[in-house]
Amino acid sequence: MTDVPSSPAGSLGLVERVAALHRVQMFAGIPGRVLAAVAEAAVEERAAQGELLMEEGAVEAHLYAIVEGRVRVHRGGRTLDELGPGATVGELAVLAPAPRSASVTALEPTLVLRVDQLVFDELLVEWPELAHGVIEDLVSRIRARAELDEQAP
Amino acid sequence: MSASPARGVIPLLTAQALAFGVTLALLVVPANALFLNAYGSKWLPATYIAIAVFGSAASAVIAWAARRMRLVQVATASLVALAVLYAASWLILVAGGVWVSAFLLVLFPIALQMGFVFIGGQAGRLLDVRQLKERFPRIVTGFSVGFLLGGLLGIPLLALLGSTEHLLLATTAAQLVFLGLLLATERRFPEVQAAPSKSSPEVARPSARLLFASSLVLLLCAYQVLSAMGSQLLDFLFFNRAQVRYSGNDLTRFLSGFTALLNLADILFLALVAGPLMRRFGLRLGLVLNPFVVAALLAIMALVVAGPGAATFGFFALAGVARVSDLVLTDGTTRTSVNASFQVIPVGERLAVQAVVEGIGVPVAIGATGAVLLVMNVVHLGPGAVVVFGVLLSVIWTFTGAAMYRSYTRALAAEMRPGSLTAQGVELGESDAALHALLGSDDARDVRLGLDLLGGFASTPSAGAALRQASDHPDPEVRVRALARLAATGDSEAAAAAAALAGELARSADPVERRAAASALGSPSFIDADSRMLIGLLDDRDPTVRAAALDAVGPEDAVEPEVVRRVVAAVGEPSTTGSATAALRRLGDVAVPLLAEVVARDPPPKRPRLVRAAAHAASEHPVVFAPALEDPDRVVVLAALDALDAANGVVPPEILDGIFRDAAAHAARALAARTSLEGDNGSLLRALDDEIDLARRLVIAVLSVRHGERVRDAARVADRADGQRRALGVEALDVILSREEAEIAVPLVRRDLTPDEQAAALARIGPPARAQEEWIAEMAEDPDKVWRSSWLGVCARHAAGR
Repeated sequence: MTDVPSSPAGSLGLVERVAALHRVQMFAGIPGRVLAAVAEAAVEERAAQGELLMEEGAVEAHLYAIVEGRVRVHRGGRTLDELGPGATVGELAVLAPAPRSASVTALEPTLVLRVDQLVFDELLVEWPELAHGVIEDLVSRIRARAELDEQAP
Repeated sequence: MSASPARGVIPLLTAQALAFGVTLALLVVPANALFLNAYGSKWLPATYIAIAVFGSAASAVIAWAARRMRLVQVATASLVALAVLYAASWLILVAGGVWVSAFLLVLFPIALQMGFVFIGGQAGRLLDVRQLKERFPRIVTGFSVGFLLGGLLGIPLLALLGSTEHLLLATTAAQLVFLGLLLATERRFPEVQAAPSKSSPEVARPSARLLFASSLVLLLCAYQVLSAMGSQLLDFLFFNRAQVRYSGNDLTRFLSGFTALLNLADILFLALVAGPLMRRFGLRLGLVLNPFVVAALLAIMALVVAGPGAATFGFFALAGVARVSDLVLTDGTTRTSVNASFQVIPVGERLAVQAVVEGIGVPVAIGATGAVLLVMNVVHLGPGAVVVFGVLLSVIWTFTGAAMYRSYTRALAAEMRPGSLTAQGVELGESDAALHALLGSDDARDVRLGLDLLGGFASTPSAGAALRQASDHPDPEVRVRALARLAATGDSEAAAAAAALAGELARSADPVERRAAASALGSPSFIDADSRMLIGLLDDRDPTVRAAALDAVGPEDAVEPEVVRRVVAAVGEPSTTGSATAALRRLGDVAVPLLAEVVARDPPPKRPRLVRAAAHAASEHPVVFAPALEDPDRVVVLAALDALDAANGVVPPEILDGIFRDAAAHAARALAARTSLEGDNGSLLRALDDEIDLARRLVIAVLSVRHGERVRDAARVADRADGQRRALGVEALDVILSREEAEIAVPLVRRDLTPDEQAAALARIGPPARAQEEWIAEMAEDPDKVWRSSWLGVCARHAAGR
């Protein structure tokens, strides 16, 4: 049977980590046994209120899944989005590493799981249906951004 | 087990059928009594021919109207017209025109067919195919009860009204009740008003050629014609024998009693037998049972004629039994099966086809039977000849039923098949200008696309010129690929230049240039090149270079063990899995021993990926897959099955049986455990859902290997579609699979069922009920190794620890 790693480092147990990832739309359809490897490889990070989680222009290759708290996605002073548990930020970087297009700041004490590109690539090979989730996520993000642009003065 | 139809649909349709039955009983009793009293039974075949003429004309009018009007409009107009005809007939009879009884006899089967077209048409719009199979017999029961009530009402009504012809007033009243119920159905369920499509004239107005281009429509028509001929023949045989044995009031009393018995048998069969029979055996039996039973009874009657003779009571009793059997099976299995078969015909064409098949085919069949019987009368052939003709007819009818079932399954499979996205091949001649524009572009991406599209046409003079132009392109990949293409045409100068450039690029510090070198190695001009360059690129630190080098691996590299080893190792790397799998396929048999070793040795997380890759390379080699198919990890088994299925590999039947049994038991166990869990067990519930899904995938994979890709098509439709289409998907699975397979697969595939309903459907093969704590303890420890899921164990231990 497919071995499942035990207790990763951090405050969350493996089951809680998988449950947190299952709340993320793009991972929702992936079986727990597959997601357990991602959860185990993911890194827990905590950000205090006002702390910068991601900086515009930085070249990184990981995404964050928000477990607790809320974050603001912004470009300079302009807020693009506010996100909470079950959302992801920085997913473009794991698909095509490039300078970050926006910054992300914690609005309150926030707990995230960081998923690196290599882990994400493994997951795509293991569960190709993930691509549907990624596309849905990107489309909804683009729509939300377009609506925001239309509302902007 | 299917989702219930909207509340009120079945009662309203049943009430319509009941009123319809009362109407027809109150039509046929006075029509027969008046006609037989006036003209006797010898002219009955002549009325059959009249039915053919007027029936065809009536159905042509209905079909014409159906293409232009809504179902309810056609039905309303027809039912009003019939009510007017009944009332007018009463006036004519009161005025002494007994000839109108012949007209009423002719009108009876036409009204019968029309009524069922309208009720069936409404049912087809309000029920899906599964609901039709299960509920339509109950609707038809309403007709039988109505017919029985109408027959029984005839006696007191006759006493009340004083004369037979006055019964037609009651006929008219019952007809108006039927009409009222139809309009009430329309008001409550506006979807019955589905109009013919205006956007597709071919669909809205199907020509006869279009309709009969379908083998299913042809067979449906033939089947209905043969069914009507068989029923008419049995009807005639019975009346003929009854007239020999009874006369005058005795005949009337006997016919009344027999009609009551006939309808009682019909009601009991429909209420108690037809539904379970159709649920259990489906159309496979529904289409052949009626003709087979009729053929068998007629064969026995033929033996009786050859022995004791047609005048015996035994022959008469057999004629009665055959008449009863035919009626109950026509109502209980044949009509339901035919209505279900219509569901695979697009909705826009369905009513028109139904009107043609049932409205024209049936009257013509009755007329043809009349003509045959008249000819037999003219040449003085007795009942024996009628029986022999009936045997031949019912044998052909049985085979037609079997052929229709096959056609139905094919039509269902075609309906399930997804559309193909395969593009037509590029015609160089027609695309020449566009191709040269691509090859001459400054944009390297355009030139690469041009080189890809060039395929095997590089030897043409114009292509050669375009390639020479591309070989001077600033982009190194374009340059080396263009040179390689030229080299492949026999240009030795280009070959030397390509080799030199590739070597230079392979040593570059820029991964883009190394990738260009790797891409060039795939060209035929590099077949004899030094394999050290390829091996070096296969070991490159950049995964995109390694993937390009893997793409360049060809069958000729199978002689290099170092290349084979690197390709097998690359399967385990996510960034190169796809390219390595394709390379393995090109290397072929030589990679098999190494693959078998790696599949057996590698750690569990990588095994499914390796198995999938191995199937593409070595689907004919059981040495690689036998261990994977018997792996304790069901994920590995699924990977092996899916990959072998995709590669058309062979799986021993006993192994398939074992996987199917294990997956079915696993699903039943997981569902039983799931239904016992209460409270906050989210992660464990989710893990169990994953196990149920894994079992479901295994079941579908096994069935796909056994029965072909159509199982996956049907499962996909049953899983993802809604309403009528989902019901068609489930129906397709029902007809493709054996009963034992369907009992397991269908509840698992149907996502419209709740886990409790799925668990109930699989309870037969599931474990006995247990308390939540017992289930959690078993999943956590798995003492009998039945769960074999580490993740489920983790979730169970987590649930137990809270």
